[in-house]
Amino acid sequence: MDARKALAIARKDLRVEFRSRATIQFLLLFSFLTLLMFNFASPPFSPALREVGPGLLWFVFIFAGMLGLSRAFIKEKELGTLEGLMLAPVGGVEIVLGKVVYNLCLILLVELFSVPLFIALFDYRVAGSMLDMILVLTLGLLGFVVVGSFVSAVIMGARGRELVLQVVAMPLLLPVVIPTILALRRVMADGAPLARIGEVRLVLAYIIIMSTLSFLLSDSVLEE
Amino acid sequence: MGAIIEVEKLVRRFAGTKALDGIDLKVEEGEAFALLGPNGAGKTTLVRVLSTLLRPTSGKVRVCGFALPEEREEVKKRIGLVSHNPFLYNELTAAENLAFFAELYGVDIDVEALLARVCLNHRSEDLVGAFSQGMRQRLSIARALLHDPKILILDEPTAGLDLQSRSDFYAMVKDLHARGGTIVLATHNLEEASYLCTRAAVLNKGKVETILDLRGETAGAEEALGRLR
Repeated sequence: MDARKALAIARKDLRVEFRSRATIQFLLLFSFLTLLMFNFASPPFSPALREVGPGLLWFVFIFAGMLGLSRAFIKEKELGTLEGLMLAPVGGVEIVLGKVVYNLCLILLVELFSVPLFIALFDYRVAGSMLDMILVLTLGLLGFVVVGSFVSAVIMGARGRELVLQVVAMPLLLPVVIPTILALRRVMADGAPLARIGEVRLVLAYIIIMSTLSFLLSDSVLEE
Repeated sequence: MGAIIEVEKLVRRFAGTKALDGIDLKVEEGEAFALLGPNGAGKTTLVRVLSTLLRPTSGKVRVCGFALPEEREEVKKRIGLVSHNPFLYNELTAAENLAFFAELYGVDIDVEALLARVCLNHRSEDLVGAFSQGMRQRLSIARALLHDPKILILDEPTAGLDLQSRSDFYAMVKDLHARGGTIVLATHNLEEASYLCTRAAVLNKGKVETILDLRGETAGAEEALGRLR
């Protein structure tokens, strides 16, 4: 595997994205509006917010992330540029890794925007360490992107692919989403330190399994 | 000079349908060879197999001495493909597109010199999205040539081009061939094939009907194509 080629693909995608700004503007607007709507719907200083806060944050990430994921491979497929990548001496592993890095950058940008907004809008006091919260969130998002990018590659040839992506990816994402929400709740509401949260190890193990699987199958998946 | 492309009993199936049905073919090094035939003859499928985008269902394919699909990474380094789809990113400039593909091929290139070769050096900083179809096709040639391939494969490369762009394109292909490059052109246009190539395989329903010498009269080729219409 040549990491430079994977990074070249990620850089190209980010350059294309920041030049058109089509996806990123939509992701940030979606995150902002969702948090704002929940803010109006919940009474201020409600104790229930403490419990549902982690789930609410993940609601934003999952749906914003899905919108971003669907563009990574599907756009290349629709524009016919994926064949240009396949013609070059680049393996499926480099292409998938490039897309993972690109998607991770996009979703981390959403995290960077949404977490301070969430804390400000809901006046949320994180019981545990802020660093632990960011680490748990980032680990969960990494899992989300690894699984989502692979599924996006698998279904890009399907009819109605954007809908198919959501249907296929959601069950595969549950082993990431549920433990991450539980871990996030323990940090944000219970103030537990990261080292004592078993769910984190579960997410990490799932990421390793899915990464191995997607890198092993990437060539077959991308071939027509 | 020996054969640079060797195809033996090549079969490619799509869901039970044979798009290629026992193709036998040899292209010599430095030759300009055409794949002629009506729509659905199997030209594009054959091009996609030769350019590593499709795996053969059965049969033997060797390009530059390397077997497909086993040694496709070696083949990729030695071929360039230009099709009606330019494989370019509209949101990147001409120079950025070439620099990106050069990174993927792992080669250092002089972007300006390459763009000058296809008469686009004055537009290097312009977004490809603002280019005409003819300019995109010229840039696509630059993309296909940036790693100095031994074989340039052209799949209906002039589809959608106006007369001037087509004429410029022909001049570029002639120049490449004159420099010793091997050209494989898939087209349904006999005039285009006879202008650019010296030999042609006439394909029909996934089979090679006949091999033609295009250096002399094209009457034989017209007759062969006429039988297929």
